[in-house]
Formats: sequence, C-alpha cells, structure tokens
Amino acid sequence: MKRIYLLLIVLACFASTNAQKNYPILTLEEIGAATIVPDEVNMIVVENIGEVPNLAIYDLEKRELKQKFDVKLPENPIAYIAPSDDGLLYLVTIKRNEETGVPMFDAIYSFNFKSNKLKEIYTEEGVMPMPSSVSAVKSKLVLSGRIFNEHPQIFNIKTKAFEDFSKDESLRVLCTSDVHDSYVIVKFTELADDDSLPVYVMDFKNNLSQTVGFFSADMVISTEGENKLPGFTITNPDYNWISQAFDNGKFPLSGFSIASRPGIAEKYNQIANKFDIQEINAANENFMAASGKGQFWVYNTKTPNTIKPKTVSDDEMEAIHAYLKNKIEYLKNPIKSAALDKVFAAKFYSVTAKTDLGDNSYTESSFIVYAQNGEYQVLLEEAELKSLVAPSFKLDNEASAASFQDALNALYPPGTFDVKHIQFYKKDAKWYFIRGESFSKKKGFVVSVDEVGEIEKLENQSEID
Amino acid sequence: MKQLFFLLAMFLSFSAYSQLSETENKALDELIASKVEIEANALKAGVVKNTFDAAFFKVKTIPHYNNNGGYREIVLVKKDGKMLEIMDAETLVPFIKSEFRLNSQAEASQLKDALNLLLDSATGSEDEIVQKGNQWILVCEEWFGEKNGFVVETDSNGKITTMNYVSDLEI
Repeated sequence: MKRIYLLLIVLACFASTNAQKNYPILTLEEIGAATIVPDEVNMIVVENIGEVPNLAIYDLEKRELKQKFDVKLPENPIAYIAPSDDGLLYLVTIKRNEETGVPMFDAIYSFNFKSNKLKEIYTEEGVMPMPSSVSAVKSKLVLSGRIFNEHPQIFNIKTKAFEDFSKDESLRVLCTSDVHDSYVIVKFTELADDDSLPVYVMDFKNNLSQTVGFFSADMVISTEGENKLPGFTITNPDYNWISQAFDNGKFPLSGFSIASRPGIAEKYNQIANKFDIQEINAANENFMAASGKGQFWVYNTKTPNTIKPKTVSDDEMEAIHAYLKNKIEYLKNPIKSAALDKVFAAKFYSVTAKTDLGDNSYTESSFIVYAQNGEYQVLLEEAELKSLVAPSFKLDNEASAASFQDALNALYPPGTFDVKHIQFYKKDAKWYFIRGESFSKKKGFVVSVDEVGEIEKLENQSEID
Repeated sequence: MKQLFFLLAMFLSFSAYSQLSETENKALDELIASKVEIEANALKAGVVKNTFDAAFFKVKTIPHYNNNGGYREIVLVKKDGKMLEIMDAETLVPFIKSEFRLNSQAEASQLKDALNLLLDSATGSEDEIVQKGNQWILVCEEWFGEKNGFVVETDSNGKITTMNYVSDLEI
C-alpha cells in the first residue's frame, strides 16, 4: 500500500491538475494474462472463470466479448500472451521452483485461432528465470529480463529453439516493435555522465542502424525543483514510433515502472479509478488495460470515456448523502480581529470538518474561507491574500508591519512551539514575517513592497535565510 | 461524560452558529457543498455477490478545500433503505449468504478475496489459510514475523458464526 501512495505522489508531480477523467469502457473479473494486439481493437485474455481457465477475445471498439475458445489450456499458469505475424498466438507459461518457490520460465505453446488447437512447442528442462516481458518480432519471441543487465532470450519460432541475440555483449534491448520488425537498442558502454545513451535500431537480421536519437534514463522527483522522467529524443523522424513502442513494450507495469514510461504515466493519470489500480497489464496506441483487487478494467486512451458508469441509483445516492451528512459536521466561525479589518478588504471564516470515525473518535480538518463583495471562496494558497489586501493599507513602517503580523496571527494562530519565533523585520524592499522554525530553518511570509509600501508580492516560504 | 461532551458540542455549535448571519451561514454551506466531491460506486465483484447477500458501496469523500490530494474512503452496506458503515469483519457476519458454507480451502479463499474488497485490514499480500477444526485462520499480512488476519469460526455445518480481525495470530 505504501508503494502505491509513493507512486501516486510521484505521478502527481507530473499530473495536470485539471486532467480529464477517463472511465473504464469494460470491467471484467478473474482475468489472468492479457494482451492488446498492436494496431487492432482486439484484446486477448485468459479468463479464470469456472472450473478451468479459457482463452477469450474481446472487441474493445464494440466493448464486448467477440469469441471464447474451449481449448484446454496448459496446467501451469500462462504469464504472457504474444500475438505474432504468422497468425498464431504464443503463450508462455511459468512454474514455481520446487525448492525456493520462485517463479521460473516453463514452456511455450502456440495457439491457432482458426483450428482452436494448442500445441506445446518448447519445454524448458533446465532452470531459466521468469522473463519480465515477452514480445514477438517477425519469427522470433523476445523474452526480456532486466533491461540494462543482460541480453534478452531469443526464441526462434521456426527452429523452435533459443538462439543468441548478438555477439556484441554491449547491446541492450530497450523495447521491440513487431509492426516495424525491429529491436530498439542501446550500448551500455556508451552511457554518458548525464545518464543518456545513443539509440540504434536493429532489424531481425541483426543489421544495426546509425544513431537515431538518444535515451535519457535520468529520473528526478522533487517537490521543489524540476521533475524529469526517462525518455527519448529522436533525431531521425523516421523513428518517431520508438517512444510509443517503448511505452507499450513491457507489461505488466507497477509502481515506479509506470512512472518510467512517460506515455503510460500520462494515460494512467487520466484514469478515474487510478487509486484502485495495482498493475497495468496491457496497452496499445488506443487502449489500456489495468487490474486491481480482482477486477480488470479496459480504457479507451485515445478517446477517453468521460461518462461515469452509473452503478448507484438515485435513492441509494440519497441514502449515502444522508449517511455522510450525519457523520461529517462543519463547524463555521467568523475570524474576528481589528488587525484583519485594517489589513484586508475581506471577511474571513474558519471552517472545521469534523468526521465521526465511530467509537467516539473524530478526525478534524480546517480551512479558511474569505468573503469579498458577496463572493465566498476557499483560501487555498497563502499567496491569494495579496489580492485581498485593503487598498488603503500600506506596509511602510513598524506599526503597519505589526498590524500585518497581528492579522497573520488571527488567520494562522501560532502553535505552542512557534510562539517564541514570531517576529518581523525588513530587509531591502522585503518584509519578513517569521511564523516558526523547522530543523533550525525559519519559515514564514516574505512580502515584497514598492517604495510607498504597496504590497507587490506575498510568498509563504519554508526556508528563510 | 458523554452527556458533558454532548452539552459542550451543543454549546459550541450554538455559539458558532449564533456568530454567523443567516446569509453567511447559507453561503458557507453552499461553498462547502461545492467543495466536497462524493464519489460512490456499487461493489459488484462476483466474489462479493457470491459470499454476501447485500448491496455494498464504496464511497469516496474528496475535499477540494485544500490542496493535499487526500480523501476518505469507506464501504457502506444498504439495510432497510439506510446505509451502514462496514467498520470491521464482525459487522459483515449478518450479511453473509445464508447458504454460504466454509468447509474448504476454496471457500475460505473466496471469503478472503471478498473481505479484501470490503475491509482495509484485509488488503495484505499474504495468502496463507489454516484450518483448525471449526476455526479458519485467514492470514493477510506478516510484519516482522507477526501474522495478522482474520479468525473465522463456524458451526458444525460450516455456517459462519463469528469473524474477527486478530493481530499476532497463533497458528
């Protein structure tokens, strides 16, 4: 759970505050492995409904089940489904290491839609780690592990055997594209000090292109500075498809790996029920599938579904509102102070939301409301106070600064430990109103004024030098 | 003591209200209503429908009067046209389907999956299930060697009689 909160904080750094909500177009249950076919509207899934699992195809455009197959699936769980150019579907199963319980690669099966026949084409007799993703490129299956640590395992569908990926040990596969029959490659020996790498494209005959762009693996998450996600800078426009192939090239994704796929992170941020999602299971250019707590949702990411599916009747909603009204009390009080009346041209109110948690326990959350010219608004940011300052008020001497401090004390009463830090002083054209200390750093308001004491800027700073 | 709190709350409520004009009070109520989003969804997962005989709702209260992105989520169940909050496993016992029996690992697993959707305390990643006679132990999480989860007791037919969350389970 902690990891999910952390992810949400990370993604919130990149989220647009007014992001459009995208509701599921399809909600399923008991879904195992899943894939959305590139450039198509078909989603292929393993359904774990009933006695035995089955394969099914959903038409995502029509939002309905297209076909269900009754072929008996392998006993070991199917972890990956890879559609291939040859018209077959390749299923990769996993098994548990009997001693350690760690999931391992097990076998590869081919499935023919037309004949409804499943065929085991490879069984691993040795010990091979479970791949983190599987994709098809031309007549090969690419079983990827840790991207920057090793070559992928290449399974040749024609020879039904594994083969070497490349003799060049420095090559690493960032992603693959079945549509472009290509591997997107970097050489780890070319990693620059700024964590960027030249990007190449290799075809299925192992011909390596010239540099087509750069990949930056740098990820910066900061609440104060600029945030940065990994991503591509493509210098050859013929290869603009690479970013999308990277985004849609590795599933399932969870935690930080969602944030490391910029296109997926953007789509994730638009999802209405993103807090329920534990894993993103599949995606192509137009659709994305995700799961959490036994449910499986599909979203149209090209044309977001902005209409919330109605699952609650009007009567039920009324009963829900009645319940909440009984549990949440809003305590409203005017904030009265002579200093407030002098400094600001608005009336202020303190509102406390008091929620009954049962067993005589409560939680409280307070906020400030101001009223100006008959309009009532929540004071979300302290900086908004600037627009409420009375036109007649000038911050031009010690007395007016004392009034300003008194007004702040009325709006934001200092806590027991902060009282001793309350002070104000002027330096150059700025007045500093210290409201407390945290880890020996002063915090408070910095108010910039012009030559006649007119307030030009008001900021709340957590560190005042 | 409860009476004292009640009287104090009444006094505070009255004195606060009395400081606001009718116009102010109405305007503040309207503003608060516009700043609190209530999102409700019926819980229609098969595993819940197969285990319980009631309509459950996941209700999210999202305040937009601050910028911290926080929200509160609760699960309500409809009973006689009114909503009740699901606070713990015990609250759920009266809503278990009369025909549901807990006699096998599969049934215990189904119950555990349903609880996972209804209770925060059931959201751990452990999947251990232990049977001790008429008692089933559903382990949800392990924290420094301490196992936490639910102890479910049944009668001789497998009908659930009690269900409680227990910290530091004895297995």
